Amino acid sequence: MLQVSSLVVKYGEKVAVDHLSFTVRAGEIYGLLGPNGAGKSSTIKAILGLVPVEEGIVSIIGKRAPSKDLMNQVGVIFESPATFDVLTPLEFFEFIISVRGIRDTSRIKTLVEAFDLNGYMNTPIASLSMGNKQKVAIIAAMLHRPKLLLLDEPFNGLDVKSVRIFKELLKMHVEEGGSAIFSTHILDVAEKICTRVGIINQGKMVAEGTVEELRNQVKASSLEDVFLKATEEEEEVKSLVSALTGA
Amino acid sequence: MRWKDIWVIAGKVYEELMFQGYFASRLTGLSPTDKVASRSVRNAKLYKYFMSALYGGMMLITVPLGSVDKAYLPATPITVFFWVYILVFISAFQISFSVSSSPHIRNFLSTLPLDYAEMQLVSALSILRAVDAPIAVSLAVPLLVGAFFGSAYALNFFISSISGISLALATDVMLSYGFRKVSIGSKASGLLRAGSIVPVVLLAGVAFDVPTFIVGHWKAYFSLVPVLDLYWINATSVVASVVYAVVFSSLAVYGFSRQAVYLLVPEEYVGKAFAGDLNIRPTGRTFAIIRLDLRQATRSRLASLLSIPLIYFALALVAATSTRSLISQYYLLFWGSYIIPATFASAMLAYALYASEERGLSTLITLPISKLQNMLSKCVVTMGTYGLVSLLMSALMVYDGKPSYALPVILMEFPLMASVAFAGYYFDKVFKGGGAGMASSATALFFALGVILIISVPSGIFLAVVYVSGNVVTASLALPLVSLVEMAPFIYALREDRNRYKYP
Repeated sequence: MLQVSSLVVKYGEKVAVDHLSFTVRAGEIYGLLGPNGAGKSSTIKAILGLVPVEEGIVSIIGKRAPSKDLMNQVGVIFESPATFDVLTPLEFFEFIISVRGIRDTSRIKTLVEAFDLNGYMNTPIASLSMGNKQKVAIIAAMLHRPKLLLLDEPFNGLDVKSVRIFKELLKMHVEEGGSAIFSTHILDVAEKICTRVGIINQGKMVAEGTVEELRNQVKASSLEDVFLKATEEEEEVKSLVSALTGA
Repeated sequence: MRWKDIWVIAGKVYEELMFQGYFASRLTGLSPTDKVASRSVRNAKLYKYFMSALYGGMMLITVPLGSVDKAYLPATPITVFFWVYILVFISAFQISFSVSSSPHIRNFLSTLPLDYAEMQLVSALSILRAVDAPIAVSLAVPLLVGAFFGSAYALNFFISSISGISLALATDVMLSYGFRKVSIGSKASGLLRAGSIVPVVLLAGVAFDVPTFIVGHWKAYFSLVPVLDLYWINATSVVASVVYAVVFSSLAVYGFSRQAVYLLVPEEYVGKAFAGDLNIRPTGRTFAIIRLDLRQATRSRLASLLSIPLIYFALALVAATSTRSLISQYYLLFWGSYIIPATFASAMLAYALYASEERGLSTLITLPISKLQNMLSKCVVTMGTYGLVSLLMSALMVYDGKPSYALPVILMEFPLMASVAFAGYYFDKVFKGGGAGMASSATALFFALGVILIISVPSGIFLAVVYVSGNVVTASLALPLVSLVEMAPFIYALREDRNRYKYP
């Protein structure tokens, strides 16, 4: 579904993504994990062509990205909801389906109902809470039933019910043969829903596999321990905790 | 808390308000980089000093023009009033949006060891800091110039300044109140935003024109504005001026105190709750983009740009009726002096529309929209705006018995189209990627310079051909021909996919 080969992204002298390679197969949710500034968001932006790429190749469904033709195959949820604040959710969805050439509006109604947005459909997006803005972004990203979902912290601001609904939607998405990249800091969630995970640090892949495989590799009991070991932060955390205890 | 600490906190709140106002004007919510954020804060600080210097300079130049001919002299207090009003209004306007929608200021202040009275003081001072330099200039420059005319004028200029400052603050407070009371997407909001620029542009136009009109004309010009008609140097006018100054000041003080409280009250949403079935109306792709642009244009501060070409038409109409004999001599130049700014203002609308896309750019970029489709939409909105004005002006020319002059007015759509193509190219280069670039005063300035060039070349060639051949119709052909040549490289550059980075 998605193949990233030797991707390099630089911001000036700073290397954000350093020869990163990974593959996301059909029917798979791939967890892209890493500490702050590891290069997760840059990787997602690079796949979309939103940041300059120094080296590397990205293919989506066998086609070289980025490309306008691929955009009906991809759905994206950004860390900060990227919507048009002056529009209402209703107008925003109308815009999205019009541009994507979708004529069946039943999916909007179903998703709006599922995410409990009915009461806000005529409210300017600017006036919505963070959680409701995120719901609008999620619905907009899924309206066209994309094959590949790029999710950057998609649970930001969502209430418990909406998180559950979104997880179910993701499950249905992969059961239908779709796949997703799931970038998050919430390791508990990643552990539960990701088929495989890739842990990146300073732009490089430092560990990759199923959660079970990674646990076995480093003899850790949880994904959190795996994460800290892979990112070489375990010792630092221990010393910081002991310093706090001493204080 | 010590006065010094309150002053420092007020300074920080002021910076935040300016920063938010700056973001509101560019309508984006993308996280700026550290560099961009610090630059915009610095720009915001410099802005009031720059505006104060600029308008102070304009007063220094235009007000003494009254001494060239004694007949102009009675008009000078009005010139002072206009310049002061514009300077203070524009400076305070910068934070109107922020003041009406900044609940986080209250949240921030509530974390500090301040009681409510101190919070109010911080709030009031933070707003005052947006207009401190403009008010200082508004008082100092007219007094200085007034002293040049004599003590009576110094007094009258001082009263004019007080009136201008007060009325500007009162207007701003009313707008801020309006922004707070109407919901973002409502028609009332659009109208309010569209109308907010009207007093400034009208007064700016008038302020430039005042010294050029002889008093007779000037009286006719302002016969509809009784408040201003009284600004003559005699006992009655001084009394009237003082009365107006007191009324305006009272309004400003009351409104200002209310505005300071706005920062401290919890945010309340005043939009309509939705009930009923979802009536979703999908359209074609191009129409969907045009509809998005129209909504962006009419529901944000951009709305004011929509009204500028019409205001130019109104100014032209007033000037045309008051100086009819003069205009018939310089018909082309007279109308050109209004048509070219109207075209320029329409072109700036294209810039604003592209800038407003920043907020949703990351989403927009994931949609199957080509750059040319996007540009076409901007063309429809901007050319439609100018089109209305050009039709009105053309109708006047036909009425004047000079229908051939309507042709260049209508064909100015071509330089405008070239400007929109330039806007598309400019944004493609400057604002590549979701948040890699940011609309700023500098990017707007460079764009404006580019548009001036794009509009000037065909207009200049048109005027040159008129001068040589004396034939307006033939010369008009230069407008589309030259503009198409200007447009070609931009269209060629925009033919590619949307503004994505290419892989090596």
